[in-house]
Amino acid sequence: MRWQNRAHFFAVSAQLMRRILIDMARSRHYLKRGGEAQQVSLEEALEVPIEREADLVALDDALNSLAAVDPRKAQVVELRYFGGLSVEETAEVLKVAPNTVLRDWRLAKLWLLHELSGENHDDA
Amino acid sequence: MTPERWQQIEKLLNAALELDAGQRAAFLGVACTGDEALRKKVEALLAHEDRAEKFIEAPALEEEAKRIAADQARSHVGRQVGPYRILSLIGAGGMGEIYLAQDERLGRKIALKLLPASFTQDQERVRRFEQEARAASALNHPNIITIHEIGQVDGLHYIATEFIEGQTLRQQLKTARLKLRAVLEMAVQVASALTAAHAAGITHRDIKPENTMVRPDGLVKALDFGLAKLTERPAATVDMDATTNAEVRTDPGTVMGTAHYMSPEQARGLKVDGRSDIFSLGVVLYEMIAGKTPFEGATTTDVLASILRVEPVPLSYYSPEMPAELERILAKALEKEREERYQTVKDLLPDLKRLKQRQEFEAELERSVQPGTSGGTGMATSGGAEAAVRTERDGEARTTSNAKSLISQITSDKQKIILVLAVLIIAAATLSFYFSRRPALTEADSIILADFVNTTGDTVFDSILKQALAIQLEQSPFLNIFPDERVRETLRYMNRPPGDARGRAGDLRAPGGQSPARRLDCAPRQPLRHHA
Repeated sequence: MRWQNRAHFFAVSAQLMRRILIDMARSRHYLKRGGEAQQVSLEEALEVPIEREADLVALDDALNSLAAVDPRKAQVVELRYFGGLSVEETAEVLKVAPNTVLRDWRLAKLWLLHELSGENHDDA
Repeated sequence: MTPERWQQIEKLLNAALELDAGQRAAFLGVACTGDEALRKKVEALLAHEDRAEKFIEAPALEEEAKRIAADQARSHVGRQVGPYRILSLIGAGGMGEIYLAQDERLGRKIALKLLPASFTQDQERVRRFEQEARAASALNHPNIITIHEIGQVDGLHYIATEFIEGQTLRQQLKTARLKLRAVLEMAVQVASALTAAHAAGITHRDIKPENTMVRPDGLVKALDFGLAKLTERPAATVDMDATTNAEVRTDPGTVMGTAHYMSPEQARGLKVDGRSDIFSLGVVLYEMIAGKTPFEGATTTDVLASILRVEPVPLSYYSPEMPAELERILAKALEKEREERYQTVKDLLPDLKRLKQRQEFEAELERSVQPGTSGGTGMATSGGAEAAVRTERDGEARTTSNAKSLISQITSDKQKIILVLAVLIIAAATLSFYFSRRPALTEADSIILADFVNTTGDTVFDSILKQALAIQLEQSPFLNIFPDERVRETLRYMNRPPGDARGRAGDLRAPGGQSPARRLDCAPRQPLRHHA
């Protein structure tokens, strides 16, 4: 594969990292708690690590749902969370202003938390 | 949810987020008129605002690394390693995890360190490490952790050591402000440990707060002697400019701060000796006082560059009341050229001890002065006016409490008193010179420190004057203080009646002219009359 540019490289790395981590989580056999609210474990992975596998997979699913309604926000999450990029780097990859990334990031997190909380039955 | 619907929600969300929480309901009520579902949806999303702040902020990979480490640790608990049963995880570092374990044979608790496989794959490295660990295990010193055993079971290398209850110095630095006396006390103990190790030909290589345990009773124990060798590559050939040669541990989970305590020669990847430990101890000492390490940088490379080139900010910047002597000791320990540094810990140790003694004495002096001071706030009540370390420079102007200024006044008076007493002593020495008819004062001569009558009316001076003088005089390697006991004995023997040769020290006036001046008459209570 040839990298078209730096941005391309980052985007692909983030994608790969996401796939690897999700695969790892899936391969662990803890998958017992589907879409329940497990947000805390990402921050407190050391304390409640068992919930995390389910968490990561659920997050992946939620991220796919987000991509269906707002692809750029899903990409921001992928680059930042899985790719480990800063706001500025993410802005560079997506060719948008850093402020836009920040707004997207904030809203995407609300969206994902809402999705993960399982309250999102209705399709308002 | 359709993308269009989401766009609608998004607009309202962004607008609502700009508002104060109290205004949002009203805003949404108006904005979503006729579309109750929309309002509910936006509100449901907004409800996650608090949790969103921390949600997925740390990159997934970082979390994953932590999780794997935690998993691994859990998997060892309950496991039997040789004669040891692992009870719980105590800590983890670049050198592997440390567990609390039970020695089944002796029925005692020990600390078990399991070395990471990555360090033990290289046979040559393992051999060097074992050699070093064996040497370290021969060290028998109260300030060095006792190594019980090094061993290997199923390819798992471990070190069993004494289990020390307490905190690492790093934990202490995080929670408490250390007093100068405590700082010096710890530095002296670490230096003692290094003295013993260096004498046995062992260089620690990794002196840092994480490797220093402090027991509740104040005993300090240095950990991990020689272990750093495991993570080092063979010394690079001399290449004075190749700062990039420096071997810095970058294992995941290792605190980046490791580089902060490196000596310049370590930063360069050169061969190290005991002088490197002296530098590292200097860094730790500096940090204990300043609250930060002397060589800072945003990245490891910046830190290393700083170690090689930057002169540390003087301690007085952080803590104006630090003794100048400490500044001198630190400057000498932190010399970039090792030839300029303290050459052995044996040279550093007495300097630290002397400073500590002086500090203790001054604190003692001020403690005894304390009852006489009014106010009783601030430093006076905190048990002695020991210089408190880490005064915030950028904070508000420091308030000078009544008690504090009194103490500084007394301190300066004290210096005058000592000066006057010194003059008296010289006079006494001169008299004893005539008395003994010796041609000159030599090292073999003793000085008699007579009793003093305290006529100041300030009872605190009753006992401390003589002590003060004795300690000041003991600083000199050329003077011997004649023991009190023998002075009295001699007087009895001579059967001399108390005379009237009273030395008058004159008046001492407090600076600023406030308050009635303390008047001090110093005179031998049982003056020695000397006759040819």
